[in-house]
Amino acid sequence: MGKRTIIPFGPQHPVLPEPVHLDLVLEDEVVVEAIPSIGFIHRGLEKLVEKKEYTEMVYVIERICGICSFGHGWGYCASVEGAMDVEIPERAEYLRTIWHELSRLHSHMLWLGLLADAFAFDSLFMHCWKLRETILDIFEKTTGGRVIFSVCKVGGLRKDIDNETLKEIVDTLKGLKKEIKELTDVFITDTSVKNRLCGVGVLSKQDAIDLSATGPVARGSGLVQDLRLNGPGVYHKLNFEPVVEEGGDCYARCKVRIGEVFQSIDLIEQAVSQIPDGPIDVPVKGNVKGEFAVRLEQPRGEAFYYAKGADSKFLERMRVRTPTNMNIPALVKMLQGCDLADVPILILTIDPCISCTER
Amino acid sequence: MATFRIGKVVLRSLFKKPATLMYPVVPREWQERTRGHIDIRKEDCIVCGICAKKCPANAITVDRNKRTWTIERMQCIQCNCCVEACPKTCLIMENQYTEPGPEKVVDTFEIPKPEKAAPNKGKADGGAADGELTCNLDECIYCGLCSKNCPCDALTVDRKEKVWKVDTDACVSCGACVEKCPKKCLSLGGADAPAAEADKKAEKPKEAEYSCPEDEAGLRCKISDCIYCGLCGKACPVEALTIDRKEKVWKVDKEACVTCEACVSQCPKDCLEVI
Repeated sequence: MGKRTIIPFGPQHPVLPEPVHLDLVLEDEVVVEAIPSIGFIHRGLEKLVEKKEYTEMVYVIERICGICSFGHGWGYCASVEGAMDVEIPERAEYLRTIWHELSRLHSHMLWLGLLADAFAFDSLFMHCWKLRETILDIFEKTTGGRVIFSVCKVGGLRKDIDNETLKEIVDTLKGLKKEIKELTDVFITDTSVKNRLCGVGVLSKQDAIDLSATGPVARGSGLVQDLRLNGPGVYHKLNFEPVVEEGGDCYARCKVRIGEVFQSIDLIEQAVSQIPDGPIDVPVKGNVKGEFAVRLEQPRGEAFYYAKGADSKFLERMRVRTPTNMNIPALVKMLQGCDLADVPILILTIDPCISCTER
Repeated sequence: MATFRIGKVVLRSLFKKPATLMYPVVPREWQERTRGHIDIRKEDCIVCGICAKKCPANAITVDRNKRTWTIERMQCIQCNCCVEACPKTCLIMENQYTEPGPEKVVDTFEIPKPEKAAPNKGKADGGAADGELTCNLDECIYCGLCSKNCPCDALTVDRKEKVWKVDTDACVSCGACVEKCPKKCLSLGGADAPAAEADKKAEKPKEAEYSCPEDEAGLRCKISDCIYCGLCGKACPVEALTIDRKEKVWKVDKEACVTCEACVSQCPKDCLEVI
């Protein structure tokens, strides 16, 4: 047994897009224990419900995270709408689903790029991000923003996408599918990539259940868990099966996300073919009285939104629990016994979003 | 063994144009919906301040006295709320971003005064609309009751000097003075006498009476105190109020009303409130 050393990892580290700190207890080159600590980017956004009217709060909630911004806005609006007993038009539900799936698409493309960057495959990284740019352009065309969309509001949506543009989006995605396929083949088949991913950071199915892992981390360990099956949106009208892999290692988690990229494109095509005409919002008046909770499948896993009204313009309480919060215990488990050189990849495979976690 | 799987993609992109733009030499193509920055058409602005109230980031400040409209560019989150709320559609979301720079830019716009006095939106009264307030000085006893009852301090009465004066800019032709004059020597241009009479007839015992029940959200008026002067209608930036002095009608279009409370502060009788 070698001498134990503690290496501080983060909050500033080239591989980390956001600040998380880990104390890595090493024996030679092997991690025996990892002690995570967060709290570097807390902004107190939940507290702001006391100062911002519930209609304005959606712009704050959207800024919890830049990648799954739309999902946060949707989750918040859905919880307030639930508390107020507002039913939104069907077209709005469809459009929300389409935008959310586009968000998942761009989030996973971003993640694939970051993963390639983590194992220093820079041309793969840049090509992934090049393709992601097409999706950001779709966002800019349909919502006016590339990162923060500001299209969700309590009672529906603020902007419509006309049917012609929807068809254009589907055509663009069809073209994109081929290019994405070329890149994802590299992730799945290239030996140098497989050497870095296969068998690294195995999380067993039982561990995934015990540690309440969620999203692609859970699905990569063989857990069939996808809130799109019973969450908000029109997913129940679309035909899809959750992407599940049995391996539990980094390679399996990567494959789950690759599968979801194509699944998202497919879901968007289905939604566009079904979308009805009609209004996109309903007028919402009065104060929020009740309380409501919504669970939503974000690109990173299950997110939970809770809103409680105080019969005034302001909510009494707003609570958001994000997927990374749930995946950190799984990460700590994965890190035990891995090589120091694999730590960056392992951290990336849970797709950490610390801004979400701390809010 | 499968190595260099990315070769095809890399080789292809080697002979293609770069995927990036040569910033800033090559300008970006903006989309029609791109939310870049807020601009204002100064000549249309009525300095109502609704944009400032609706801004979730408190980036806009409107000074009604100095007639200035100020925006903190770094604070603005381009949510488009002000553009949607502006009753005069004088705010525009331009689709170019502001220039990048090391300083937090604050832009202040001076709002020019309208060339003519704004048309009296509150007035549904045909007779009063083209009428100026006049006094038959031969009969006037300079009691000052008219001046006391004027909701906008447009009248000056001096008993000693025997002076009766009206400030035509301030007068909203509400007719409150005509109603109170003991000598009936005041008149508004046009046929107004019947209105005054009708007012007299309709006098009812004072009992608090409201335009809508207490549990209904939005603007409501204590009808029993209302003098139908139309000041609220004049102050309303979204033209949501209809006031008819002849018919004694005060109406609010709740769909249009943005509950900005601009009318509340203008009401001389304090009979307006937002629930």
